[in-house]
Amino acid sequence: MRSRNLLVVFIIVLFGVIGALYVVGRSAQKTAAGLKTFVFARGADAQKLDPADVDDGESIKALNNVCEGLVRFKSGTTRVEPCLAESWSISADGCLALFAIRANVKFHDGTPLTAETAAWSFRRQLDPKAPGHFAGASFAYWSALYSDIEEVRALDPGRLQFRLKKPNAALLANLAIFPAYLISPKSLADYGEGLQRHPVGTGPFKFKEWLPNDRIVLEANPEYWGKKPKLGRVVFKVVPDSASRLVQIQSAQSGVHAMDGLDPNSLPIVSSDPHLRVEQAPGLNLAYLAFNCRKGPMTNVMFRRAVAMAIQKPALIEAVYRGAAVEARSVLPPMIADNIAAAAAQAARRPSDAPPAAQAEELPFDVEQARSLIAQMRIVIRPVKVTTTDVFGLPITIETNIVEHVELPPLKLHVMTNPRPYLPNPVRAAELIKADLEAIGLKIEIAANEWGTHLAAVRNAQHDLALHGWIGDNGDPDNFLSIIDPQAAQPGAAINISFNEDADLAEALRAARSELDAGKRARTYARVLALARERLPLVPLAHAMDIVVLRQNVRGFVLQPTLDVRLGPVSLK
Amino acid sequence: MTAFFAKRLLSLALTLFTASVAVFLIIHLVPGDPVSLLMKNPTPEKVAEARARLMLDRPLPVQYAAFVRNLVVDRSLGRSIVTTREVMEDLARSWAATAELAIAAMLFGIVAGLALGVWMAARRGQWPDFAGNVVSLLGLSIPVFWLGLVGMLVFSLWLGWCPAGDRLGADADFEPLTGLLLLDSLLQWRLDVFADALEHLALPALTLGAIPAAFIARTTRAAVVEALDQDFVRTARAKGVPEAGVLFHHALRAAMGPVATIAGLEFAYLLGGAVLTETVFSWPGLGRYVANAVLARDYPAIQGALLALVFAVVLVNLAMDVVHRLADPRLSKLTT
Repeated sequence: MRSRNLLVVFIIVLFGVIGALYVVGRSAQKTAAGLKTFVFARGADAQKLDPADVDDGESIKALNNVCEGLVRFKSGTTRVEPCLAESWSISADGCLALFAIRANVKFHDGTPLTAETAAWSFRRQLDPKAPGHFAGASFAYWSALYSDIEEVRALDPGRLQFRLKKPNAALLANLAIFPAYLISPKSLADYGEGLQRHPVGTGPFKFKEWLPNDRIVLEANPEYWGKKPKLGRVVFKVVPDSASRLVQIQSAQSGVHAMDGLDPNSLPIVSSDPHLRVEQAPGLNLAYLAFNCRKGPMTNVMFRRAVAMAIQKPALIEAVYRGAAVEARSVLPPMIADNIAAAAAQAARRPSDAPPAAQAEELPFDVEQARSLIAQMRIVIRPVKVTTTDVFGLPITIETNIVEHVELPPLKLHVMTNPRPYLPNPVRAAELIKADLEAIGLKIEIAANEWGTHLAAVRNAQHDLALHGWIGDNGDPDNFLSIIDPQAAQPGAAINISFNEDADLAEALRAARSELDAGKRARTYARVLALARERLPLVPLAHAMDIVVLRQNVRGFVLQPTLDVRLGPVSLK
Repeated sequence: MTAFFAKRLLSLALTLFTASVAVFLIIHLVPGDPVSLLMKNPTPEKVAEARARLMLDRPLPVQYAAFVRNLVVDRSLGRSIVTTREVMEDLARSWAATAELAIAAMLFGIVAGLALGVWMAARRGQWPDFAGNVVSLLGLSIPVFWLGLVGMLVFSLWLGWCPAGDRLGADADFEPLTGLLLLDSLLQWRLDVFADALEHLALPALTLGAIPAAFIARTTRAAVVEALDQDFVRTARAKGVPEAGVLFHHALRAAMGPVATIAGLEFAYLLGGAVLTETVFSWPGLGRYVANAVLARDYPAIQGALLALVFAVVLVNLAMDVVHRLADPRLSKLTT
């Protein structure tokens, strides 16, 4: 009996003590003085903080503020401007690129930036025997973006030279993105393989700590070579649920200043909240419907055209994106298409040299025509021999044709269940497309799988149709057009899940890649897009808006087309 | 007692072994592999190279043997395929976060559940009984993520009483020792951190504790009501024991057994079942770790985390058995 009394007393005392400690602690809390903390909430954690070895957006957002490359994109655009290299020149044959390294720049650990320390970051990826080329690292981008680079050499402390196997028009754009960020060679000695969790760069913020699945903390770098950062500390924190993320940025108590990955359904909530504002622009992304061009009716271009004509894109954008997307008219997002056109116009000496617009016209929405195309495909004319008797009762054989209506087999439409940046509600999109296609007489079965399963299925060509997408890494068309490149269609490791075998397209893409003359390159891409429109390996559906939600007191934040998060110029009012 | 322990330990080892085999087989049955998920720009050569490096091209028994060897010889659960961090380190950190949340939720669940249950029993058939019934039914049936979001809206957004998620504020500068922040802040006598951690813990703990509180309330009510109808209670009343004494000393005592059982089961459930609460409140715990690992097909991470969970559940059950035997002398007389 006594023991039970003790239990009650214990519980009361426990709560009393906790309460007292809380009250004392609460009064001891200092309000943050001086430099301010900026909190960016996003849906997932970084994988690794090694720019050479990541390709997930969450790792990159943090690295954008710690590390820098030789060149970078001018804020808000995909035009290349100087960064750690003050200037550059490219030889006439396009095989030598020379960069003048900025003087008086130091890595966060004090190592001075020279051509030699810069070359180290590239050699580390280039040479499997180089120190820092870890066995477990995939260097995902090296082979894709820099395979043309043969050698990186420091001519003297101020000059870095790249030697290329063949000219590559996308070289500068490729050097402006994260895998070309420089890290301090000393960090390998200091952290060993741990450098993948402890980046040491030259950027406006220094890495402080990383609590996995929780937060990454950066601190201002007072010795930054450029404009000094205005924030004292930056925290990238993980808030997996998008509804919670929204509540956190809405409530001043939670101290969140910016978030991405907004559920488009919540846009009205954000725009009605006086404490919040939205930055949005059409993203470097594409959601598309891929045909498996090696299977059944999908091999027939008439069939693919019929499907393209039957899809109601405006309805899709309203229902799936809540309006936060633009209709896709070609494989390339508008910004990239505009870049090509601008480069071509600049290169053209006379206006008459200007190439045809890179923006391709799409097929019109036309259910009637689509239905009749499908109906035609279902008609099969079959020669038959009919044996009968003539007027005298003698057997005769007549050769004739009969017309048959065949049923097309039901088609499997593969789709992921997890929202992707280019497709916020994939299953709903699949249902709408199914309805559109059934209206023209097709039978569709939806195969909805979690992302990993979906990816395995479509990369192994198990689909008939698939909803899929791409997010561009740089503003260069080459990176984007790999989704229709026949050379990127090996089952199992396919980027091109349309599996189209198309020699013309492959050749045009190859030619564009090594063409240095902007005008000619633009003409080649115009041809690529015309071919894509004609052969139709996929139906472009939409370019989702990139959306970042900010609290009203955030100043100087610019939405970057590459989805980089640059906090150097950002301040809090 | 020794025989009892020996048997329990043996069954613990067997359970762990069976679970490890089951986990291993199940995760390899799911389509999709980590290599293809990791590579945005795969080529057949790169895929083959990575599969070979991760031993994914070897037969399953070989992979399992390597896993066990790693665990026994190097005391390592391997490195995460995605992050290349030691799974053991990650588990230690997320384990502490989950343990702190589960303990706080359980504490709330027991206290609130007992109080509500006794009150309902004492006012049987009157309005507190009905109201308690409705509340506990809601606690059982409202989805945790919804409850969490509503809690965030009310207490964070509208009332501004506490933050909506995380374990500490963004400004916090604190090096934890055990990972249990309340304990660590007291050990280092950082009361400001203690208050901060408590504010952050309150809402998730109340949300997660709603289910055990409801369970315990209903169990307590049933047990106390049953006890109140029994002869010894009538005798106690006849002897002039005050009603409060009857309730707390006699009736509640009878309810303690079932409540302890429920609490044990619920605690095991909380350790593993906190995925939703952890997701809503961005709590960096074990449940979310497992969910992330499964989505990325991060085999070493899934294996390690699930084994840790199985271990915890088995351990809690073992502890409950021991408590029962100590509490109820009749059980230890039984041969086991």
